[in-house]
Amino acid sequence: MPVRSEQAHSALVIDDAATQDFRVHRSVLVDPAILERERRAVFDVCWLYAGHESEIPQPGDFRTRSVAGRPILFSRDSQGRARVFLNTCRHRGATVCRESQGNARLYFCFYHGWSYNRDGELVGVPGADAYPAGFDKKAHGLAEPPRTESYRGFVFVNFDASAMPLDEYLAGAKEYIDLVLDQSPSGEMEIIRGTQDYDIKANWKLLVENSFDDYHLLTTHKTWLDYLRKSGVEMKPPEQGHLLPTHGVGKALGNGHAVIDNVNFRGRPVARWIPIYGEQAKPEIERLRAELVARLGEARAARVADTNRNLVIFPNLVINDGSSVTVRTFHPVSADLMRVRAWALGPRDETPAARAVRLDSFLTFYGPGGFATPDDVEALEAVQAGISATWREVPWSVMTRGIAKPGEQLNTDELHLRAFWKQWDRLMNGARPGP
Amino acid sequence: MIGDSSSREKAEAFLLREARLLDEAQYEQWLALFTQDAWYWVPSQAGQTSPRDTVSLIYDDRRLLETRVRRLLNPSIHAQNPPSRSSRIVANVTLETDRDDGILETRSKLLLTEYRRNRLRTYAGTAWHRLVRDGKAAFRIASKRVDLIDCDGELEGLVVPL
Ligand code: FES
Repeated sequence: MPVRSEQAHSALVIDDAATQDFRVHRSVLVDPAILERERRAVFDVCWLYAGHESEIPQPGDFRTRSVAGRPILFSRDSQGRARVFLNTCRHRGATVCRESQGNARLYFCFYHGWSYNRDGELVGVPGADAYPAGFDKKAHGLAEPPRTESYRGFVFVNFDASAMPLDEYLAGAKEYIDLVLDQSPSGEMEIIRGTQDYDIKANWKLLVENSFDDYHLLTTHKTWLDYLRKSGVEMKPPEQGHLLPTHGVGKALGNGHAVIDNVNFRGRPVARWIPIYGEQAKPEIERLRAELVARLGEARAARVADTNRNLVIFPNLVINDGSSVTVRTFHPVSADLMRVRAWALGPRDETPAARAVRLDSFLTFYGPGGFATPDDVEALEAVQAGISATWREVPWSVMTRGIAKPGEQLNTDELHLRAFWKQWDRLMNGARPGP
Repeated sequence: MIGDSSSREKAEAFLLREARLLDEAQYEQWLALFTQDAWYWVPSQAGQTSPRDTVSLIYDDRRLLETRVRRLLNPSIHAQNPPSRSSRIVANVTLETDRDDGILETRSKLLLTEYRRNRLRTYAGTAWHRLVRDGKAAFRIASKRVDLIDCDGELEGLVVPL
């Protein structure tokens, strides 16, 4: 039964250029009725990340996971194409593939024994002769989401058949995906085996904000910065008007996507050495640098190696290309609980030495055992605990950093957060992605 | 069973001491149990064979282990404010190898209950210690691997060492 929202008839996001005001109503992080509306108005009309081609290299390779609440089978078909199927039997609905990953010739539903091939076609029906003449196996293959498209290895689905093409939807985010891929000599990146799965007792949109909010770095991640400092990483005092050691900007990329794009000081496994990597890793990092310059030229090599970027692809895909590359997606379980899955991405054919630096960098920052993620989780849960019972008395969150500034916005400003919330608000008011 | 029972008993006593240091949040003393080239590994996949081709949950060399301990002692570790209270049961200790060169490998069961901010959480799994004899009665930990039964499930923070 739909829950009536207390906040149904008034604005949830206030965006008033005249008074330089931008506020987000806290009910949107708490109210189950708003989550129900989001499922239709946001998750059912946007392109959602399903997986990366490199996870399923061979025909029959599969991964099962959940996207926008739907169990999906992400797999490679007999023709070598990446496919997404809804993981529910056309007979009476049982989950067909119940393993998390593997390689299958047939997908066999154990309940009554229907089986499907790698292309999702129904190929086996025990006692088929009992079905009436009109029963057509061809019409009972595994169902697919209305749309599946990919961009440079990243596979997305859309539950809206009339959605704009993925390529158009990604808009300015493509440039930033391209930058990630440019660090690989082959132009291809792969998901490194293994995932980090964790729960956060907070609304999913708080992780969107957190994923590219550089304003929180100094205080939330003080212990991590202490680690960098103690390891000999150079951190200059911030320049006038800055909070962080280097310059960085926040940019909106269209359709609610946004990025922070920073001059690097935290090190990059691709071609920017810091003392943490150890002297023994230096020649390898220098070799990678030389390869980048030879392939891309000085300017582009510097763009790839000397900047780090946190990218949010609306609504729930994050690609952080920093001291490692993480691909992270998350889905709401309830208004105050999300489920996060994160992968590490690396260049295909990376040397063991470079891969070791990458994995160490990934683990020291990210994940439930990392030196940074647990403090982020703590912050998000502190927000959720702070607002859940007080939002009627203290209804608004402030999001105006940088709003009065003409021109360039810093990574510690909030233009990129506002870009997310503006799109969210448009969709919640019935608009569809696109101009 | 490999080795004499007194080796097993000594190793078990050592593992119990390690657990007690962690229960009591004596992290510096816990760190002192490790050798200079030790590693501490919590795989993310059941049966994971390498920390170098697969993302783990934790894979610390000595330097990162020191960082982990420094972070636990840093007042700015928000994920430990307030700090956890934890209780470890270490049991089913067996000696897997007992070599002449003074290296022992133990397998033990860990049941860790952590209490923090009104929530009780349980971690269960198998710990593999490689111990080096250090004088007559003592050991040092050369490596410690913990296989959580839910290593590939949805976890919460692994902030307190296992
Ligand atoms: S539900 Fe799958 S065969 Fe019956």
